[in-house]
Amino acid sequence: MRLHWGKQARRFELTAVPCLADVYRVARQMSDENRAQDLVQETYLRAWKYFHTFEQGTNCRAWLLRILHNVWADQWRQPRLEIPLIPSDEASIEPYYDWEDEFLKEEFSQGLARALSQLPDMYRWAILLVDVEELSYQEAALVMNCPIGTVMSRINRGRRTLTRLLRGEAESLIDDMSCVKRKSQQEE
Amino acid sequence: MDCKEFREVLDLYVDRELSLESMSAGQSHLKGCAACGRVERQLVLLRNSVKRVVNEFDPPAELTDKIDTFARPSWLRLLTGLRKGSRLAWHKKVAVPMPAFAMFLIAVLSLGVWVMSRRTATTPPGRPPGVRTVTPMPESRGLDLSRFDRGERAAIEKMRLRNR
Repeated sequence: MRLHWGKQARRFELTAVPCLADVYRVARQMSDENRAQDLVQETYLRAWKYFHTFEQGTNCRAWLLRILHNVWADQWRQPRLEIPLIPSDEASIEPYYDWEDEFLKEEFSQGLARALSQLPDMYRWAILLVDVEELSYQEAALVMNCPIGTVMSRINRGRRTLTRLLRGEAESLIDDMSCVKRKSQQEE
Repeated sequence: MDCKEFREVLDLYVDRELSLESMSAGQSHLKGCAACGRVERQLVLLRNSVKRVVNEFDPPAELTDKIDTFARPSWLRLLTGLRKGSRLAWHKKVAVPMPAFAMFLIAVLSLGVWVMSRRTATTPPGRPPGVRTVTPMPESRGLDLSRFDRGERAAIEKMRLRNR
């Protein structure tokens, strides 16, 4: 019976295992529930195998997310129909969105989740790493294995695309609410 | 910093990626510009909403248990206490540490057999175990050797001389 309980195992348990929830949430956004579990397992298998290469004191969460990104890119990335990218117009800096703050309450979280799932993969990765996991641009660039300028561009375009999608959701929500209101008035 | 410049670096401002000088210029601009302030607040609101939506998902307990076994085998987890929320059938709770106990038992039995074999090897044949065997000394030639032992050898020597 091989005994894994050594110094490295103890360090792994203290350093890497607590990041499980964060890794799972990112994996969950990049795939469905079943594949997310497989992604996370494969990520941690690789992390355990190469844990001796991890530098103590550095950001373990970023290290694990990088492994997750590599696993996802190697095995799980699937061709999907992506929203055509509108080239950004540098001359006109449009505001992100104009609606009232009430649209970002609980009842709109479904719309936000849907909009997030419709984002192109690379934009979604950038949004998840910077906005959710609060990595720096440098750390996000290491995770996605791209230049820092690319990260900045993906974040900017990702947020704008998300805003556009949310605006579509909000308008359909307004239409639904208007229909309901008209129906109730007609019934009265 | 004017509105155009601020909107160009809005992402960097919200993500705290600007230099201290630029951050300070951005803060100064926001103090005097309501429109840019509103956009900045809405972007922060968007970030927080995305974070809230994503953090609704928690990893399932079975996945947590599987990841735990990478560093800690199940028998050790049982010895140090089960992880909260994990469900383990009673027969697995009993069965998993059995190999460890079996090895311990075999080691104890082996030690006992070795100790017993050492005891029987030092006892001469025909003499019951536990009885000390005293080797007779060579001739003392009249010297009193009682001070070298507890008197047993001297007593035997005296008996031998008496019987001569």
